[in-house]
Amino acid sequence: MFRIVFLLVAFCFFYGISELKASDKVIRHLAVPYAGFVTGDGRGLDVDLIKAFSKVTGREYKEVRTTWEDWISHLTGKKITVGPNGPEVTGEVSIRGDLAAHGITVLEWRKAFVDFSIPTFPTQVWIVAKAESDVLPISPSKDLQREISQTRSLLKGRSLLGIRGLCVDPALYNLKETGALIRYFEGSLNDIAPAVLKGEAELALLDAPDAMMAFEKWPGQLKIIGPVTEVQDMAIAFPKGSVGLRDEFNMFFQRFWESKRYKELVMDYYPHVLKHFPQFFQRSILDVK
Amino acid sequence: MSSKTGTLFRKKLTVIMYVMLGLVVGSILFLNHRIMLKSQEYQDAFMEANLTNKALLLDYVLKDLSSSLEQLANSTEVTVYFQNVDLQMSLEYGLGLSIAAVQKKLLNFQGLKVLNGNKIFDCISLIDANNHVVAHTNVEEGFDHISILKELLPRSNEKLQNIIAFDYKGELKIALFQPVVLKGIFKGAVFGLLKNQALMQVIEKGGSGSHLFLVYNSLYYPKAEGELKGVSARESRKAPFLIFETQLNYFPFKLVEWVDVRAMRGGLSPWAITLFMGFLSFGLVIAGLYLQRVYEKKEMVQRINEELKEEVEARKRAEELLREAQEELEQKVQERTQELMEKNLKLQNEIRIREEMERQLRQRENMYRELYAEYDAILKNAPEIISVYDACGKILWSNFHDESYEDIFQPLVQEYLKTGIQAKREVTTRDGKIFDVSLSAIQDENGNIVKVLETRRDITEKKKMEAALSELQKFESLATLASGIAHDFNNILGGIMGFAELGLRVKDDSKRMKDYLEKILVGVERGTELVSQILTFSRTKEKGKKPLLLAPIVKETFKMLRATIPKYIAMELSIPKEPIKILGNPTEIQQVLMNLCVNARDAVPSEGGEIRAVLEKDKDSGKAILKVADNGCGIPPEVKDRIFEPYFTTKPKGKGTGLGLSIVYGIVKSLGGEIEVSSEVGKGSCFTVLIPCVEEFGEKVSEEEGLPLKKGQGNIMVVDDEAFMVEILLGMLKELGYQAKGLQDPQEVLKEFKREPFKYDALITDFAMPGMSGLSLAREIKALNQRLPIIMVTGYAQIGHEETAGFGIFKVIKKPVDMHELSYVLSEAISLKGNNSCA
Repeated sequence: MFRIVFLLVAFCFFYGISELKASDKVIRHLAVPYAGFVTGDGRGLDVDLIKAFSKVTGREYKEVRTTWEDWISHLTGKKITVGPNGPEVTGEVSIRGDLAAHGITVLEWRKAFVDFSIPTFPTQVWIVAKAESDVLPISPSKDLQREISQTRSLLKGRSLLGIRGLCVDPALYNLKETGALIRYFEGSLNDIAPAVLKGEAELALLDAPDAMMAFEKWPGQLKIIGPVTEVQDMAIAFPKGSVGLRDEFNMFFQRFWESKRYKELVMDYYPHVLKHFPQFFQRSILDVK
Repeated sequence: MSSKTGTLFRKKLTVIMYVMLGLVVGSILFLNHRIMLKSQEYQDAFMEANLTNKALLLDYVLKDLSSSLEQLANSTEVTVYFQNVDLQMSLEYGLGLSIAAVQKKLLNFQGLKVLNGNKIFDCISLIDANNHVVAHTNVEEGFDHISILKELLPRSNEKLQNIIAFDYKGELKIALFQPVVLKGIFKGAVFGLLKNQALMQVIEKGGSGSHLFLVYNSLYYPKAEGELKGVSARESRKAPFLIFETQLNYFPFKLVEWVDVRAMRGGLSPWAITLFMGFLSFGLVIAGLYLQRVYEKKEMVQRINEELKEEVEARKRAEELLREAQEELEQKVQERTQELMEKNLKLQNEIRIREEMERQLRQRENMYRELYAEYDAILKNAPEIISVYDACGKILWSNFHDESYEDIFQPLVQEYLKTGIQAKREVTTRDGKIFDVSLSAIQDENGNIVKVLETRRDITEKKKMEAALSELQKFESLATLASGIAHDFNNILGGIMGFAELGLRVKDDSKRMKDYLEKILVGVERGTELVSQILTFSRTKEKGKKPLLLAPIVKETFKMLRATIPKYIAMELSIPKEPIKILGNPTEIQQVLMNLCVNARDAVPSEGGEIRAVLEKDKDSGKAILKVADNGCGIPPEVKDRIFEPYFTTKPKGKGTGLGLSIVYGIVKSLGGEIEVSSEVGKGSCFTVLIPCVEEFGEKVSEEEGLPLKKGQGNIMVVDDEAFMVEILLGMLKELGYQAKGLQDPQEVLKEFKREPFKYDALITDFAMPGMSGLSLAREIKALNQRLPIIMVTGYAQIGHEETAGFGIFKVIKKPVDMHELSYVLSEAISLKGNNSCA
């Protein structure tokens, strides 16, 4: 009996060690095909970034497909469910990845479950509508708060599409209080723009990178009404406690940024983002928090 | 050579020619046969080349279509579809939209690809890598292209052929493929089924008896009826039809053309044609020779006739030309003769005119000589000095040569030449002569000054006369006032005398004594004022302009006039309450008013005469208006324009100088004013003088009037040859708070200052003193103490600041000395001295 228990403990111990060692050799990238970050064909801004990170650190790259609902669970090992009352831990699952990167917006509630790297990409949540919609875009001004107020004032009585638990969740920005008729989309984040085009709702929340892609794919069919958030950050997510890997990534990203190679990579996937968020990319040195 | 021999020779020659002609025609026929055979060969080659061109065209069309299909495969819609598949978009949303976009793109593509008005593609489809048809256009009913595609479609990019032909129910079908590759990954393919009929219409332009086939392996389009034997073109000259074929360069197809030989070359053999042509040629040659001989004869006769005709014509033309030349020559001779006659006549006239002109010129020359002598005498005896200068200002001629004034007048001319402006009209020479100079330019035709004419007139005497007359006129006015002045003086002296006597009687009552003394002082002040008026009026030098109140002067002058003018003439003066201020000279104002009133006095009748003077201010123009009106005899219209002329008078001889109104006019003009006159004979005249007003006074003395005495401190030296004046001044200075020392001899004062030059703060000196004048004393003392202020007191009205300017005199005070004035002058002098010493 003792032997069995000893062998079991020894197995578990060595299994953990081997798993740890494997983690040193391989970087398992949890990825959800999304916009230009993970294109689904083995490429994408975040895919190329993590591949470069793996190569520089001498690790093998491995892409692990997941979903928007499950990526935190697969990264942390805790089953996280986002309901009407917010996220809650509902069980445990096996860890499938070492980091997650697919255009993940840094949200406060996510920070409770994962650690984020230094910001890698700027984003903002915009309201989009079909080109034929009678909702007119706001007049741009230099005052972002004023633009947000103007945008919110246009939502009253209009159906607004969002996805619960993601950065396009209307609840995150208290959009219900604007009088908008909130509709939660059951499909994927990538399908929000087509859903608006199909007429599922008059308006939809879309984050800036996704909107940029949508405008390239369906040119002249969509229009931006205005922003509902300030400029947000996207970053690479790490499990809590994986400080070493995160710091390693941060150091790598700093060098990568300074060598201008990251900017070249961004230009491949989002050539227009520099025009929208020039301040983000004008930084020469990054702050490591 | 005889005629017989010639005929024989001609016949032999004809035979030889015919033999040669036969040989030539035979050769031509043989060559024609050869050419026809060659032509057939060329025809075959042309057909082959034509077919090759069609094959090339088909190659090009297929390549173009293939390229278009490649563009379709790389289109955004197709790319976005596969990107969305990778992004796992749902068929319901993202993929659904993409498929709809692809479908639309395929339909558009099919609609755009048209050849000769026909759609080239029967059907276009997009298939993914799993052989699923993503989208397709409409297809022929019953044509199961999907199952066919699934069999035909290669499994990867590498093996994919761009074109595939297949047998569909015994008919050749052709399809084009283009792979869709995204980032190096094979995603699917675009498939386009070609419409054979539209394709063949591009190249099918053969004539009747020709059939074109597109062949792939053993499949023909259009479907071939019966078996076509592959006979090559070269081997089938005798065959009923010919077959041409060629392989496409880039695609695995052959083009085959079947041509009916009869339709292409006709039914006759080359020999039959040659023979027929031989006979025809022979006949034509014979006929041609005959016709040529006939034609040559006819042509020769015609040519001889034409040559003769041309010769006759040429002779006629030569005769005509000769005649014309002769006529022209005769006309020219006539014209030249006429012309010479006219010129001769003209020359004779000119000679006559010239003789007449020379006679006139001589006459004029004599006249000018006489005139010149006369003018020269006139000019030399002229009262004016007339000089002519050249453009450099050098004197050329003058009727009076005097070098002593050249340095005065030559610069004037020089300046006139430079500026074109005459600097001054009146020039005073060193010896006191006054000249009225007039310069005028003599210009050439371009307006350049070539000479300057100077006319100089000595007006010294005239000026003196004018001055004397002006003075005379002034004294004339003064004489008019004399009785009035005497009356006033009597009144004043009576008052002084009365109060003095009263004062002598009062012994103990100091208050009454003070009262009498004050009244005496008032009388003295009035007397002083009157004397001042008379002195002012008697001055020969005019004072400068200064701001002054018009009303008091007018009032005072009118008062004097009232005393002068007989009482039976009513006089009325109207003066406004508001002050009227002008820039002028009191004497001049008095002179104006007096002259106008004296004229009025002389004009009014002895009974019922009225003189009315009004002083007012015109608020609109800001001018002072002084009107003097009378109800006298008035001015006749014929003299009205001359009344302001100097020396013009209507008064009897000895009654007036004729300068009164001209002086009034001159004074008013010098004040910047105007004078107007209105008059009616028998009713009276009205003279209106308008003088510009000024707003503020600049004179300090006016401001100081009414202020209390200004006391001060300092050590003052007083010198006057009159002991009582020394006493009065010492008393006043003591009263003003100064320490003072008084002397009567200026030499003693000078000694005192030599001893102690800086002991005194100011010197008050009389102007005229025996032994040394005040000015000499001032000069000597200034040499000792440059900063010492010197105040001069004098009873001479004409001594002013201008006369004492070069001697360092601070101020001139008129006698009797006003204590108030003295206090301010002394205070100012000492304070300025203090400032200077500080500086």
